[in-house]
Amino acid sequence: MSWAAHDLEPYAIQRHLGRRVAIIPLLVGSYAPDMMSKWFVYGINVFGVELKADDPATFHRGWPGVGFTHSLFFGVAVAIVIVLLTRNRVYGFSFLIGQWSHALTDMGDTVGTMLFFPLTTQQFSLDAWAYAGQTGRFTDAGAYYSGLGFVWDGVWIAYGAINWKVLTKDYFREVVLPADSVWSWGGRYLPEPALLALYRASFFYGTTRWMAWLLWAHVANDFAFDLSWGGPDWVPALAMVPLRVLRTCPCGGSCGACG
Amino acid sequence: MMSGRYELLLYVVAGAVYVTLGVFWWRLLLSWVEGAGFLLLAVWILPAALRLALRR
Repeated sequence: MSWAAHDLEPYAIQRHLGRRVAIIPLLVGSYAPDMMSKWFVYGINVFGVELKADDPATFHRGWPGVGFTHSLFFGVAVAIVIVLLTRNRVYGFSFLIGQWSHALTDMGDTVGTMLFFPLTTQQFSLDAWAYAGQTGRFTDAGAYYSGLGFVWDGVWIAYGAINWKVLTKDYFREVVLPADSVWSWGGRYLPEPALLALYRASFFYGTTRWMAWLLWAHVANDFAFDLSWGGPDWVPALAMVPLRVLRTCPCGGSCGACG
Repeated sequence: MMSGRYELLLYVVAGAVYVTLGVFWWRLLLSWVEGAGFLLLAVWILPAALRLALRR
């Protein structure tokens, strides 16, 4: 999983696509796959009762579970619903691009994502950094900010810094505001500094969170850096599950392919 | 209207405070809503309140 990339990637997309996207549905799309599931991966305590998935990785990325939210087809389905409800193609397209960026980015870890669900439950993975969600929030944070995951997030911070104009007032006025009437509506109740802060909020949140977790992992705590592929090796990383095709084989289970 | 440098300074200070708080009080780092609320407080509400107080 990624800790800050989902906050940052939408600004890179915004920079490239300009008025063809609207930043709010783009961000919603980028957050959507984890929106309702992350708390159950790490577990929460409600009135003394621990609520946590028995198998966090399967719940989060697999099937049965909510791994279908990381499928490219999930993005298409929700985008179609958005277009039907809002009659706004830019909203649908923006959500789609945001959701796809999330699904593709999460391919970077060792568990990967079911990109083509419901055609297959195969999880596609690049194995670049360890998936350690099952170890709990702290060990996962320590592992993520010690391996290549934090480097990937850092790439997006650097990219945002190079393309800093996307965060300027002029860019907001000339590109972001005309692309989505929500900002004009918001402008009736809020002054421009507040609108700008809301526009920049995810970039601020992603960047500062990246710095804070990095300091937390290596200054406040003593997690060891390991930038090897698939690392850090000190954490028990989960790996992708073997190929399972949902479609039933007409042989009824007797042929070599489905044995 | 805020000048560009003043605005940048506000964001840098807000970022430095948020990072410092986040390292020691990690719960602050878990919620986008709290992050956005903190930013609104730091770059809009507090400066506006300060300006208002100084004008009186």
